[in-house]
Amino acid sequence: MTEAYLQESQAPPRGHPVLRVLGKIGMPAVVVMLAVFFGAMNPNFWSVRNLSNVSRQISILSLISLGQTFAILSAGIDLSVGSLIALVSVVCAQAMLSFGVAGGILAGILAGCAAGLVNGVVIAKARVPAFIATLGMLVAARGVALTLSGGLPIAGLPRSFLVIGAGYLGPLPFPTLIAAVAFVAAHLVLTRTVFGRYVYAMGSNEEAAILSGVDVPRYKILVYVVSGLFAGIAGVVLTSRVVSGQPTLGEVQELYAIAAVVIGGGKITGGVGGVGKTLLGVLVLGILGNGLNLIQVSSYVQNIVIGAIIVVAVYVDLARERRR
Amino acid sequence: MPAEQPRPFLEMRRIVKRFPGVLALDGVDLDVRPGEVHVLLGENGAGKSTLIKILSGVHLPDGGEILIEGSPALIRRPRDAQALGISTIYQEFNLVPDMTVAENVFLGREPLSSRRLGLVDRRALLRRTREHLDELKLDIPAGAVVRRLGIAQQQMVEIAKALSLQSRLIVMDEPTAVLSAREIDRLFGVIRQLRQRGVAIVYISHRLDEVKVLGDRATVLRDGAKVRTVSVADTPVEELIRLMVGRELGEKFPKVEVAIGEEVLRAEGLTRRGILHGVSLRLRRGEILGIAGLVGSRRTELARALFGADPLDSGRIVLRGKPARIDRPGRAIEERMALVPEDRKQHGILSSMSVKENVTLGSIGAFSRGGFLDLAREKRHAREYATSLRIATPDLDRRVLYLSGGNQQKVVIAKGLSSRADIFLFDEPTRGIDVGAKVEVYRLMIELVQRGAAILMISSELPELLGMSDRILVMREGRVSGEFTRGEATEEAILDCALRGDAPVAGAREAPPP
Amino acid sequence: MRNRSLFLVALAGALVSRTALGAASAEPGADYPQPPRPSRPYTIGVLVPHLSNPHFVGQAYGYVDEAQKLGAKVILLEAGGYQYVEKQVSQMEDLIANKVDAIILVATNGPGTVGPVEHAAAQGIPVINCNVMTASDKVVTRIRSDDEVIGRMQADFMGKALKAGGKVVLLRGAPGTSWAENRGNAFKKELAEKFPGVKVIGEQYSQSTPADGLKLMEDFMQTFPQIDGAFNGADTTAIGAAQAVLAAGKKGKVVITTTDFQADTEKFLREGVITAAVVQQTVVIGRWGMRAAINRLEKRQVPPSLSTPLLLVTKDNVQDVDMRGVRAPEGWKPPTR
Repeated sequence: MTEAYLQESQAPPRGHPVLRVLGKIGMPAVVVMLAVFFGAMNPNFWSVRNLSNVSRQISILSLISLGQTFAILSAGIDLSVGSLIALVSVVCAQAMLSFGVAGGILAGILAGCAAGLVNGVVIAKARVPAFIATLGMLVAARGVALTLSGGLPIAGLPRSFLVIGAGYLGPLPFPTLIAAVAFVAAHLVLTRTVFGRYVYAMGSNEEAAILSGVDVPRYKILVYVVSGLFAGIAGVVLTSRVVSGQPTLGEVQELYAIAAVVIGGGKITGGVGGVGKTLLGVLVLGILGNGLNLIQVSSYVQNIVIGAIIVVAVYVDLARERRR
Repeated sequence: MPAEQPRPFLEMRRIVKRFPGVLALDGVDLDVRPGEVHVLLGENGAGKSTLIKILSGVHLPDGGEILIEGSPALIRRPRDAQALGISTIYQEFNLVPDMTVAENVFLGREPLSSRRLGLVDRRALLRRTREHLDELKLDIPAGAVVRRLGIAQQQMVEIAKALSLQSRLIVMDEPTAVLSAREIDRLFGVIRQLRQRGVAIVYISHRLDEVKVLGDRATVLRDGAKVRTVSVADTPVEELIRLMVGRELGEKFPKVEVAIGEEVLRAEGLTRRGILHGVSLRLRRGEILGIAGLVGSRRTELARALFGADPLDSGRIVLRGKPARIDRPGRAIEERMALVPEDRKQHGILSSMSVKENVTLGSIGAFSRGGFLDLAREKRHAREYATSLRIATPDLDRRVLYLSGGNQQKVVIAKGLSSRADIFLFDEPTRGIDVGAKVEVYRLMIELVQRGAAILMISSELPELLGMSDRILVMREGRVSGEFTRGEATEEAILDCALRGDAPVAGAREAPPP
Repeated sequence: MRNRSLFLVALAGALVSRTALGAASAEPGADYPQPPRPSRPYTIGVLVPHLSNPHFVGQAYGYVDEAQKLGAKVILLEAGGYQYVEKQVSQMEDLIANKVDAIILVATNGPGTVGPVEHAAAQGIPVINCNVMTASDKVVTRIRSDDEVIGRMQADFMGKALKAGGKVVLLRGAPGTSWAENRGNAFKKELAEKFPGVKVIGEQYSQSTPADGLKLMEDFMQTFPQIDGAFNGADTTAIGAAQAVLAAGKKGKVVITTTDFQADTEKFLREGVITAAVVQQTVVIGRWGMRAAINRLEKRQVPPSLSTPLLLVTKDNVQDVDMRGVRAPEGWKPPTR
């Protein structure tokens, strides 16, 4: 039997040669190039202080992007993560004033998980499309945060809580450590557990996953709980960073989380991607934001650059995949 | 015969196409004359699809030339092919499902009542569409929304569209794969009309019986090269197969009768409102139970209901003597059942996942300790099945996307096998795979029953049903309308049983894929 | 406290008559004079909540123009709105990492900016807090118009305008900011104490934009059949409120008081839709902030707080306002980073 195992769909990518080269060297090289570029433009970029600063700045985006990775891999999306940060922040701060630091942290993370659970049930059981369900949560969770707080920041948090956002272990800020642990954990879950395998399966072909015995509704709910969990951790860290419960935190962060996933090479329709790719996306966004500030590019122009990067990254990825 | 051949409409000469790591076409020649049905034969991966994709402008060749009526033609994109009078009807139709038949036929070329305002002349649109449908003697309303039509009717709309484009050559890629016997007859009628009008047809099919009925000449491809062009009438089927696979296949259906054991599956009065009406059946160890029926007879729905993929309103399922509640596929798999679904791409493979991940998906729990996977053990397990099914893949981490159709089907079967199933529901297990791979699937089925498994096999190919089944149930409109033992079953009897009474209008009651 | 404020009101009144309403004699803000040009060029980071209203554009002009005169380099960063605390925190960290000599902070949020302010202080980078206050006390000085005075001046004007009593609403401004908090509270307190006949029937926070002000005022007018007065924490919402009142055909029937004086505010004031504006000399805030930063870097004494004078502007005295302390020159654009 001499069957060709390759289908006739593996051809060189199309598109502009520059983009083809980009596609070949891939995102890791882009990250390195960005770092080298900004380092050359401003030597401060490579200072330990700045690098630890960047790593802390991207810790929040990292956390919610990890949750978003689960959602997008499973062929869903979680638009609510930005608002959940605000909800978590308010709940965490209020609970902390009454029940102490541990109580506040726990309450915040539970609030994130609970909102994720609501998302998951609405999506998996009521079969509302993820885009709509989490869009509803985006609006509603912010409303809950504003209502609980009366629109005002909640100050007076215990000194000891601030160490989460401001503390260091050697040169490493705590938020960076938390994000790093989260990356490793998420990677293990996605690559080494049954749940992780099912996340990919649901995103690759939900119908086939069902027929292969995957209890899709159950694991879908779990996906959004995980996303809520990461939003919960992010909310707690950010609350500590801004030293107060803030109902206005996290606005549009969900879009940057989605951007991080797709810039890294995750497929917006699910099934393709992973923690490593998301990390690359987060790094691109983080290095760009910091580097452009350091070389004093106007924040207006920064928006243009980042917007273009999102589209170009996906285009390059498609050019890589697209075959003739 | 060679004396008065008409000049070919199309000549493809020494066509070469390379993909990374593969020489897909190695200097292939093809000539097609007006008014001829020219069959392209070859196993999956032989190069048929690549050749027609070059002809229709989807791929650019790396070498060779194309002549239309003797003069060189450049086909760089699908629009070029259309302009040269070449239309292609793919298995996945190029129709906009929410538009009407007329809107689809004239999509992009709408007759205008006011050129300046771009207003569509709806009446002319409908009239001209009706003319094309009438030419083909088709009874399809020009104003019907395409989504509501059956597969067969949608295919006819594609043909009408090709006619409206003044096509001189129509490529049909496995047009009968999704049709029932009656619909196939109608399609053949239309093809014969086209032939009379001097339209050339390039016809791709795996069904050699059809080839014999319809084809004038056949070009056989193997491993990207042309083997030979033959006159169909002068070439026996066995010879065609030999040309395709390059060796004798031996028996077409390697049926071995196995001692039938105890009952493992019994269904009683399975009913799902509007779909299944009191279906009862039983299946025994060592048995292959064939399920025949027209498209729309709800055979796939029966398999899905048995597997817990669709809910039942009433009826019960008894497995190995014990009543079982199978309310989701996960339960069925726990009960050691496996479903190999009809639509491989939609329901079978997880194309962006690896061969290994596909094979073990249904049994992944077995490799998990405390929630964590033993990846090495999983890989050994997957390799075992990939080897025993002879899945052709460079490695187990290859995405299934990149495998050929036959190998994808083997992956789906391996997935079922790997969960230690002994009750198999095969829904059209050989659809769209080549002759060689078909025989392998048959051998595999025999191996399974020899090991004590039981198989329920849905098929639209009567020879396959007759060749492989120990018993055949015939379904019609969600009911069992007849049962035959291996001895008594004939094609005529089964067809009669499937059609008896008011046979459904072809395609009109097509079950939408659930 | 009360006495000090009263004194400030008096001072403000005096300033109105002396500088603003008199001919453009002295440069506005001369009360805290320009220091001598320092020996070396300093780099000063300036953080503002946003630059999409003339108030902050005017202030930015103050920072930039003063820096130019003092030979300093300005890195001006805007957070994009009061709601983006985390962005301002990151920007501040970038400035610290970039080792600027001093930071001038207009806080997006009081409590939210505590962390980086303390971080900067710990790194030995002085922080000058202007206009909108951080909750941290690790700042060199706080420079602002006194928000309580702004609230009281509006209350006094409102009380006198509604002698017979009336019902008023508060468009407070951006939630979580010191100014929205303090101005509104002072307004309410003063009304309750001095003009018990004037009742507050509704109050809301909103983002500080004309669109939010318009929507809020429309909703107030739907909710309350009679509204006699509307307080505005900032003129951004006042412009929206004025449009709502105009559209409802109630021009002149609602006393609209506001803070600040951008071009649209002036237009509505001249038309008689907005009744009175308590105007901060935002350019002066900018100049003073930069002067304080340079003084501190040159090891000169800086007072722990500075209040820039306020102007009470109505239709009657609008011709005489000295705009040099209030707005950036026509056509000036901030060099955003």
